[in-house]
Amino acid sequence: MSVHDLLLRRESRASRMIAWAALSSAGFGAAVGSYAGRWQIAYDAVKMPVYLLGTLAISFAAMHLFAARHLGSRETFAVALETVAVTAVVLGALAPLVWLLSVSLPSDPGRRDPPSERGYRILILLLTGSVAAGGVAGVARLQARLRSLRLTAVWVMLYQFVGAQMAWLLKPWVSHTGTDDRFLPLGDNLRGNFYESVTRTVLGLFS
Amino acid sequence: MAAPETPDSRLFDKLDRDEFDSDRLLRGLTGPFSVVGAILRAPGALIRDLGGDRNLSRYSASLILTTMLFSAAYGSILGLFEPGVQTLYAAAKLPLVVVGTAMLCTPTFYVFNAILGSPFTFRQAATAILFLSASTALVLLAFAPIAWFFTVSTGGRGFLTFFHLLIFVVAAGYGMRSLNQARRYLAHVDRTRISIHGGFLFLWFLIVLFVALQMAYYLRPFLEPLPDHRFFTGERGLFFDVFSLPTAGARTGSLD
Repeated sequence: MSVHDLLLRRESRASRMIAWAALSSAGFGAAVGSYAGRWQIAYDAVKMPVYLLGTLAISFAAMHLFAARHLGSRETFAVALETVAVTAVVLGALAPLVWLLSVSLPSDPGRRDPPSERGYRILILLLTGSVAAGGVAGVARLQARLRSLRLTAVWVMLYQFVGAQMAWLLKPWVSHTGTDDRFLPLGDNLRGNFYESVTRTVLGLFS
Repeated sequence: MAAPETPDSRLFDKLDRDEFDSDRLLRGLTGPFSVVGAILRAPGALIRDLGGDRNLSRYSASLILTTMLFSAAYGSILGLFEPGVQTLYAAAKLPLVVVGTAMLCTPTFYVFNAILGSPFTFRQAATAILFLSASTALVLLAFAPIAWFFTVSTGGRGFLTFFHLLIFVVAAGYGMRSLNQARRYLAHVDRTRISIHGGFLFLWFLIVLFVALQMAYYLRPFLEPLPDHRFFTGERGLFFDVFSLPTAGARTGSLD
């Protein structure tokens, strides 16, 4: 199966979908890592497929139970892979644009001067937009397969619940400070979690 | 009773009559340049070949070649503001911007169109974008003598910057108009499918402009050489800086 078949909703094989998801998301990861450069390019190229496929592996059982019980487990797996692969291919398509901004936006590791801060924020905005575009494309495909808004919503909630923590665990992604050029600082990342951090941030707004 | 004639129907009738022998693209050294004739006089034939996936490898090679040569020619005119090594640099930089923008924007065009229901393959999508870039480069070439005349007879950097920007806007506008015309004609030729999604195409044009401006900004300067004759400044920044940071722009942010 080519990526063309995947995009046009034709018959799909699991191995090919995994390959496309891994390759495309690795390309997007490499583009993100280009902002810090050097090893961060390779780190993010490895981490992005781990993020997408790892989240799928961990949340699959719950998604099957709560959102796709009417399907066989093989069918659920095919739908899940297709959703992740479409998301990843969209991210891969946006990778050249992310790469251009990653290599040309101001970046001054360690100093955090105003132009670097602004460059970092623009990049984060672009990344958020890219992931949102990939997510919308993936969810649209999911909805076409499940044909139920309620089940799609449950599926997305489960995937995102795990995905947010997975992203937290795998950080740093952009590595803009210049001091965290590390692949997987688990010691830091296992202290607290995504949801605690969000809660602290929200409470901090009112204190 | 015959259907009333509209501007669209007249255009489609004209495009229907267009003929171009794409086998000519392989004949001799000048063969690849016959694609210029197709762009100018027989775009309908080129667009039908695009929709039917006929001889697209030949078209792509010819379109890339013409885009690179024509934009290099215009680039050298940019660099003639201060003749010397800058002439060569600018001649190398402009094809990088034009072809680089086309390459960076091709995956987005292909994937989003496919998701929106287009049966276009990657090769068809890439050729469509090269049609845009070659049309743009063709307009740049057409303006090259005028740009040269003003470059050698004018000393004002400000005027020339504005003049070149105006030409780029006209050239990019023509390229986008060509691709939009291709979209409309493809929809007319085969009403059962959408080859290029109209709504997305306009959003994509904005992405193209953004990428082109950012590439041009990153590869600056084009008019005046750097004091140490480097190829480009290597300084990072966003092209908005030209408008928002007048002080910094005077130092590093200017497109020229």
